[in-house]
Amino acid sequence: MIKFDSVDKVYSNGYKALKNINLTINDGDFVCIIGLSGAGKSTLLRTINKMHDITSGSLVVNGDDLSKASGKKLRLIRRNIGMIFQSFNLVNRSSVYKNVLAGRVGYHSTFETIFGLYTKREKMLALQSLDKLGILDKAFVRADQLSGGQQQRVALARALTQEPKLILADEPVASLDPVTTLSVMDDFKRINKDYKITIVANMHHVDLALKYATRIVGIKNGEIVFDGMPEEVTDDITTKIYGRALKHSEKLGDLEKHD
Amino acid sequence: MTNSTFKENNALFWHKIFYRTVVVSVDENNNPTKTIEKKRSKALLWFLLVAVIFALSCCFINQPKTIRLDQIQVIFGQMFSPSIWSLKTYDQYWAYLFNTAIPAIWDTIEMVLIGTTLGTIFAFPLMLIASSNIVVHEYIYQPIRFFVDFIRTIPTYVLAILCTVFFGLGETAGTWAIAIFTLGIMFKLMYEYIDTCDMNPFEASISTGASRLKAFCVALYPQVKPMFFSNFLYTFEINIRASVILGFVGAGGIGQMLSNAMNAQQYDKVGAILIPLFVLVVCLQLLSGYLRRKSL
Repeated sequence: MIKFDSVDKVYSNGYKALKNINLTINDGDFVCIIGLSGAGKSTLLRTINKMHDITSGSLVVNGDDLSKASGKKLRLIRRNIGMIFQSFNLVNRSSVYKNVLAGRVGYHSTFETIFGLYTKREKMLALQSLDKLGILDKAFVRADQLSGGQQQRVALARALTQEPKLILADEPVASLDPVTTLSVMDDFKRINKDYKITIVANMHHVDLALKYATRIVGIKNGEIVFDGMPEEVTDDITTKIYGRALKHSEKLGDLEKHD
Repeated sequence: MTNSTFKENNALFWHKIFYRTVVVSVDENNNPTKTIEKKRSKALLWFLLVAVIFALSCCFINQPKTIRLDQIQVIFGQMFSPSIWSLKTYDQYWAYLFNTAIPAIWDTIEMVLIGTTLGTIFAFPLMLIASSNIVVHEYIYQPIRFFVDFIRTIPTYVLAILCTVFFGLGETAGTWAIAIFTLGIMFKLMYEYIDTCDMNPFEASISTGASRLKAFCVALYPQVKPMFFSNFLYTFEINIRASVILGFVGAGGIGQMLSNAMNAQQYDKVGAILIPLFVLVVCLQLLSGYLRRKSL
């Protein structure tokens, strides 16, 4: 469970990225955070694993108070949280298998990391993660040989290999084409349902968020302006989040055709 | 003319010198309808400046009164044939080449290999601390950079003399001189390379709960590795050539033998040493070129 209690975030240049955030995310939720670029989506997401510090308020993730966590304790918290990025953030020169195994680094000492001393169980875990995402055949291919969709699946497999309780996804499909977007989102949905992993994702596309999320959080100028079920999102709500109603052409479209 | 229009004209004059107008589109009479301004290239200016400095330097440098090109023939003749006062026959010449010069070159290779490896091992932790993207605190990495830059200002030649003072004449001195020299080069080349690495996987690794050192191991080292080996080979190659100079100040290896032969004006011995040295350097260059191409 993630609990934001009157969280503020002010950047060192004085920019107020988050204002009085109160939000509770329950285990097993698939939460999509929607909003304009610069609204604070990314900042909000990155406070959950303390890639960004909060300025005031309290943030508790799975029972750990993040404002007090640092050093070893913070790293132990982070290893239970997977993270997915817009640009995949894989080591291009390394094989897919090595990239996925790197998800286990948090469980090892520096010495074991230098010499790549992973246990047999972990090696199997890495391969099983790849299998779950249907890219086992790419295990020993260099990461930069894969297409965008495949690379994002590798990133997902890396997160799964951490055996996390929670996966954060920062614009996971923003650099993918519409068809690949849907299949990667399907993977997220499956992981959420089958392995009971909470997912918090930032999204550009409202209709995509509505299709996959069990809960929508709308954010504008660093403030939460909507928090509810996807069914409750009306044109009035999107107007509130985006400043004006979205035109049909601004939606991803053709979602039904794919199904 | 008032003072203000003079100032405006003056500004316009300099503006025309530094900028030129590029036509974006024209009308039917080829008159420009839309233009943008582009800063002029300063290449010509720099070229003229360098040319003037070069010309002036040529005037002031001490020029020899005569250039004795005929000496090339004499020296080469002496280098690649036996002479009456040292290696009397071709048998002796080849025997010297194979039994004395080549083993000495082998010693040099050993010296350079150990020195380069030691230097690289010393450089490794330092280059991590000196990389601004691994250690974000300027007050840590700047002093390290300054310290190693200070070592780098010492010429190899002086380094070798200092080492012969500490370790006595011979190969130990040469090995340490090469190690310190390598430390400087590898350090500089590598921290600058690490600074340009893709930090996205590093960030991803930090998010999985890795410490900065572990994140380096899994996310940056794979990016750095080919460059690391490439630079190691390159430094090794430089060191083989540098080791000849080291020998001249008594730091062991083939250079010392070469220096002795030259001082005694035994040019046939000089030739017998240079032939295998030349072969070695060429082979090494080809090999390191091949390995570097393969690793990158």
